[in-house]
Amino acid sequence: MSFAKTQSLLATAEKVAQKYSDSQPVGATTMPCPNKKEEKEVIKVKVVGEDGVGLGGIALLLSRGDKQVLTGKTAPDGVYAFKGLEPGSYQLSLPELDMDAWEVLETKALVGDEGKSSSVASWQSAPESNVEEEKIHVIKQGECVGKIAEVYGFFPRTIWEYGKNAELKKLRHDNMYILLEKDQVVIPTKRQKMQAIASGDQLIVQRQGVPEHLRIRFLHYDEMPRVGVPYLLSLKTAKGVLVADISSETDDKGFVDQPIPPSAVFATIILDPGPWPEVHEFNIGYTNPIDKVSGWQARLNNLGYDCGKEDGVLGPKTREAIHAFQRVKKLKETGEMDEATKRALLVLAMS
Amino acid sequence: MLRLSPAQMQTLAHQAREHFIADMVIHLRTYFPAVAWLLTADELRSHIITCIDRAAHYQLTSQQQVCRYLNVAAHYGWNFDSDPDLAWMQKILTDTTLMQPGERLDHLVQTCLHRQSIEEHNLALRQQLGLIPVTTTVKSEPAEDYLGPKRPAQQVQPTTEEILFRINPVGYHLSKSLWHSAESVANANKNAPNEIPWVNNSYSLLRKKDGEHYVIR
Repeated sequence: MSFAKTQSLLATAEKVAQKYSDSQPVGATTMPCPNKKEEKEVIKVKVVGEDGVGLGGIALLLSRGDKQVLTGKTAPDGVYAFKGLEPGSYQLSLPELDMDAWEVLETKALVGDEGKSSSVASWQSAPESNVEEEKIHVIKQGECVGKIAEVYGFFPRTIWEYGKNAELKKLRHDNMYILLEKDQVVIPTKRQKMQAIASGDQLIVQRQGVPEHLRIRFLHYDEMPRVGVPYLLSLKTAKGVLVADISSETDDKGFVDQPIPPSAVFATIILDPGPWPEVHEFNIGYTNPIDKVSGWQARLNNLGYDCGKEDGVLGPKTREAIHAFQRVKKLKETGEMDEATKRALLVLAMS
Repeated sequence: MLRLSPAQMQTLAHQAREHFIADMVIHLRTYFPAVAWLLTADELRSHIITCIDRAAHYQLTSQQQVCRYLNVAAHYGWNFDSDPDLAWMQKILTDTTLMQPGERLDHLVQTCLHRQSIEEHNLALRQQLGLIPVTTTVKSEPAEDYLGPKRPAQQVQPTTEEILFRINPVGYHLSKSLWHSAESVANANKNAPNEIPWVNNSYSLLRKKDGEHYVIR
């Protein structure tokens, strides 16, 4: 999502600051001799998510034949420019990402002054390659493979399909978004790849697996979808990154379906914003697998069958909720989570 | 050939630095009035001097870099780089993935402006949807209303509809000296009821928070 540029005091003051010299130190009595400005070239890299929106904070590494490197990090709009380059060919890598976590979408030539720069690049010796070895990640409540893949720099499927996670995959019914606290996920060794790029070019790179999608369905009491209801979605992330609120309407099946950063941990959806808003809050990724009591409780609570606290204890309130669910679904009223009830619950809860 | 002794060079350097500080006082008072006008000249100078040193710690030494550092400090707080609530800012200033100190500053300012755009977007969206009331604004009044001449209270009217600044919900901290000055004006009016009252419109904006801290409401 792009925004109108801020007109804040900081933005205004930032423009005014450009009138001060960028070469004259504060308190200096002499001016540096103006160098004969030699024109050098630029390589621009833009990293976007699968939705085409720029991603900030992605580390980049540009290397040349003599093992000298330049490093950089994308700005919030996803762009970083390596300036002061000699004309020639270079190799680009994204050192914090696995090779399957990014791919080149497009290469194009920079136009006019965009491709020129008078600054000088500060090449430095390449750091010793630091291969991150395979490790085990113990799942905390609220985590799923999508979230940890962003943290470790992987495409989520690369982790989930990794041979050593086969047993977990089977245990969790191949649903990488619903894991149980203390599940162990093996994080494979990170593999690097390089992309050749010429000076004066711009490369557009796509980060795979980002953003994730949030899908929440709103139903009436009779389980009919709430269609075309205006809503405001606001998110909180684990990293404290500010996320723009989204205003839209539920779709023709009653869904709120929006791209979200994988690090989002908490969502607030305000339905019918206005004088009588309806506020719903969600801990993203907190739902446990269907074969756990806490998993039943979470799903039943979401569907309006009150189980009370999602404590994993099959108490009278949870049994009452199961009874009510079985009654409504015209199932045999046992008060137990039998296979038929579990299937019906999964169909309605959708995961 | 004109030769300058080290002592003369030192004097010149001092002059150049003083000149820059004076420029920055004007700059901050122009672009961050809500912060800078609530400080005495000495307090503002002291913050600028501290910030020049803090910026040098991050290898930001050019006039432009220091001015930009001051902009960020005036907006986020004079000690923003040691504020645990703003740890992301210090993280950017010390991130060596960005090789040049100037690049780190660029990245910091871009991130600040991006965050502000998001905050403004979220605020506007909530206002548009009727979830929060429209922004409280403070209208500009002539500087003398704040600073000095005596006039009858009924003459003190806002002279323009132009919005001067928005109240920051976090609250700007007022200088202690300004608070005391406002207190003393109020007390003086109480003690001499027959005299033409000394009008200080800023007083109504001051609210005591607790102990030594004062905020605008």
